[in-house]
Amino acid sequence: MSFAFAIVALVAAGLALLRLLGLRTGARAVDVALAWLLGSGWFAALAPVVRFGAGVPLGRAALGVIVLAPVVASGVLWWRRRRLDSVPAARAEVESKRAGWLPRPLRVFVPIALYVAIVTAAVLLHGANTPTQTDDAVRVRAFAPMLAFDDGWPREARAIFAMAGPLPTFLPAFAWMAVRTLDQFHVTYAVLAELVALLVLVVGLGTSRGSPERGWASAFALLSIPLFVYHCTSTYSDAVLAMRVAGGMLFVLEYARTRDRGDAARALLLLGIAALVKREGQLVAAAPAAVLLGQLAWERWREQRVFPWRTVGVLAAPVVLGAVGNIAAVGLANAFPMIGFVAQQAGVAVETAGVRAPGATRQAAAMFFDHALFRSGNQGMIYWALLGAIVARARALPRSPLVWPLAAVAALLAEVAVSSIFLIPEYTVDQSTVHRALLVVSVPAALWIAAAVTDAVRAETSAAQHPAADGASRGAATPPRRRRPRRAIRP
Amino acid sequence: MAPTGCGHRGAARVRASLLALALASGPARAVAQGGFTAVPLEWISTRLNPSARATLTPQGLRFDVDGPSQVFLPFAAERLELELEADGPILLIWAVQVGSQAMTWGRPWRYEVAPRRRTTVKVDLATVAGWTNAARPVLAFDGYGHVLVRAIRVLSPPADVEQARRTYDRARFWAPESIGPVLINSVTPVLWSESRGTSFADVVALVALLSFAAALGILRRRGGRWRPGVALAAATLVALGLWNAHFLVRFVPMANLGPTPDPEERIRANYYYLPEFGALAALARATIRPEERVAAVGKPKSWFASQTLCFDLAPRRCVILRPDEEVHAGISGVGSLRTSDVDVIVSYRGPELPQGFVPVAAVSPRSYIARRR
Repeated sequence: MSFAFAIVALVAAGLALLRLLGLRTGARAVDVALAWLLGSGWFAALAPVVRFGAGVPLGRAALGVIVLAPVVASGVLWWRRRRLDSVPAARAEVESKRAGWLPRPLRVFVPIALYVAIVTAAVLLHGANTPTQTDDAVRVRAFAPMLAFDDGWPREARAIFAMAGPLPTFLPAFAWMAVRTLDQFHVTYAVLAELVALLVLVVGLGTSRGSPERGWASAFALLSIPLFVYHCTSTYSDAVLAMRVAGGMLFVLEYARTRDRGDAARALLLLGIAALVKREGQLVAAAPAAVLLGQLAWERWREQRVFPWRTVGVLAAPVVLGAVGNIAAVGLANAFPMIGFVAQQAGVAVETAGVRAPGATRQAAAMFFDHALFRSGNQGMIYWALLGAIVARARALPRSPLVWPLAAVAALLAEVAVSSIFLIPEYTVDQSTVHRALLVVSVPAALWIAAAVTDAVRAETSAAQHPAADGASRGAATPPRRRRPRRAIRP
Repeated sequence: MAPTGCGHRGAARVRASLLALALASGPARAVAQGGFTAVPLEWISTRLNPSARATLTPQGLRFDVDGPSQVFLPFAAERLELELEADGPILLIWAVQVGSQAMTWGRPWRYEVAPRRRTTVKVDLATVAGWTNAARPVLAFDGYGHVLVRAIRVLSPPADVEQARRTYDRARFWAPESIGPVLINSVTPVLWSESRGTSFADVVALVALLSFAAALGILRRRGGRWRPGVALAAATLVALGLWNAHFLVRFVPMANLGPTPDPEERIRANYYYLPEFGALAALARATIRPEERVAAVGKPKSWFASQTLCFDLAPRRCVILRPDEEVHAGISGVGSLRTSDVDVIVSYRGPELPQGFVPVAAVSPRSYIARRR
């Protein structure tokens, strides 16, 4: 019950923040899911600043202030400007009415929806039933919230916090701190809540924006990753990081489609919050964020669109808050452990570049990495589908809006490949972490595949039904060469 | 969790039962029942490995279990039906003997908590890593108490090696996944043919490619234009649909789908392959007061029990007991207690207790809660 209270409180904070930032989509289900991601991120970003920076113990009063601050601020603003963000809401509602929630043909989408429902129900039940029983979870991921509940924070505890990241540390402890009772299962509930929020977001966003087939295809694709599905029932943070990055990626895809700067802001905000998960989160979230920023800069250069500095500020807020919290907790030298680790491993990799044994290890790691992508079964058929979609759409892709999101997926894959093959090849060869590490690529890739496939079908179906429109649209993409009328030859 | 399957009784199958040969060479009696042959327990009891600690009683074959033990059955089999019951938290594992070794950790790991009431446990040995038609079944027990086996019925394996190989490939392909310590890192690889090393992903990719080509051709003939996007959707649906159907078949039997509202019951019953540990954790949570200071101890060189006990006992102050040391640290080195400050020790198969502590509650003689005298 106390976790239900946590959900309500954090969703309320998230809704208030969405209103304050002008980032509501107007679709109720989407906004609630987005509010969970944002509200929990807000709490996780602020809690370490309050606790370690200001030295304020996280009791009920502190929790109340953190959660109620955006609610009160939003209320005041609403009272002063009653018509805040009413326009996008109206637009989304209109689109929602037009689309309907279950797409046609039913013989395709009813089984897909059934699969999504069955797998989700199984994950919720199995996850809720299963106590924490794996090493990394007991030592770090699920232990960190207990340290937050204890609130003593000796040096060793702060090191665990730096490793787990603010979100896995403080989010499951929210209800414990509020009701002063610790329930070990809340750590799993927090992971399950992430899954439900992501599924509602992908299906709801597709539906509200007139493309329900895209929403269901996305949910189907991301539940096609066996290791991801299993991880959602565990108390590890790999699935959480993957889902947080996927939330950002969803709006990267939306931005590619709509060119609405609100979507870019949502994407950057969610990616900024993803940086609060695990020590790896900072680097992982940086890859798609950098691509999106690159896209915005490209548009500034090629299309003379204004560069959205406010949007970049939205990205910076959770990142800066997270950094301040980390620095306050463990000091500047230990606040960014992944950067130090990567630098150290890169140094080792360069030093051993000419040595035979590490070279052989990297070669073996490359083989195992290939196996992990295509044959091990941990990622299902996602990388085959990704390859197929890229090949089948090779001609259309360079002109497609999906090329930027594809670059974001490629950046994520490159990061994991470099890490798995060059920096820590031994964990790829013994297959202890490579499959988990790939989840942050696979889940966003699943969303990209769904978008690529449904967009292609929609374009071709529309072209078949409206040949004239098709001609017009093709003309817009590649203007046909006009022939000059031949001059009549006069005798 | 017992894997099931069908299609093993085809008329074309010719079985030359190694079991029958074994039985024919001895004084034992065998009774056939639905393809299974009941093996007399007295015949088995004289042929077991001595480490099995088995006693033939009027009720059946009784195994004394105190920690891990293995029973090598003296015949080859494809399936077993075991009518058994246990009187303590005991894990039953089944495997096969390959060479002189029992492969009790092959993936997917095959196990079940031994039932407390008389139950027929169905064991499909063909799903076990390394099975052949000559492999001898191995039953492994872990826990404390007694397992009473009232009857063993055997489905003998096909005599033909090629047929046995096909049986093995089919059984392994459909074998349900199982929860084990390494599942968090990777799922069991799915092979279309394990004996040939053919990956299921390769087969699905090929089928999807053919689907793409077929859809492309059909759409072109019907509509007069190329529609690679629709063909791509069809191929993707085929690829993900086939994979997901197989995924459901393998993972749903593994999932714990019964709603259990009580968290104490979840902790007691849902350490799936560690029933004795689950019972101890639940007992400790029920009997140790929140203000008491706890030390947890497990088997030497094993991280699991002591850490997980402390985790389950939070927010009580808990440290991991190191028998040779005076000061003990908590999980990941957070917090510490001296031995003299400890009120309660929870031991899961741990070494001897420090002086002054006596067991006060137990789930087995080696897993207990101890307090100061």
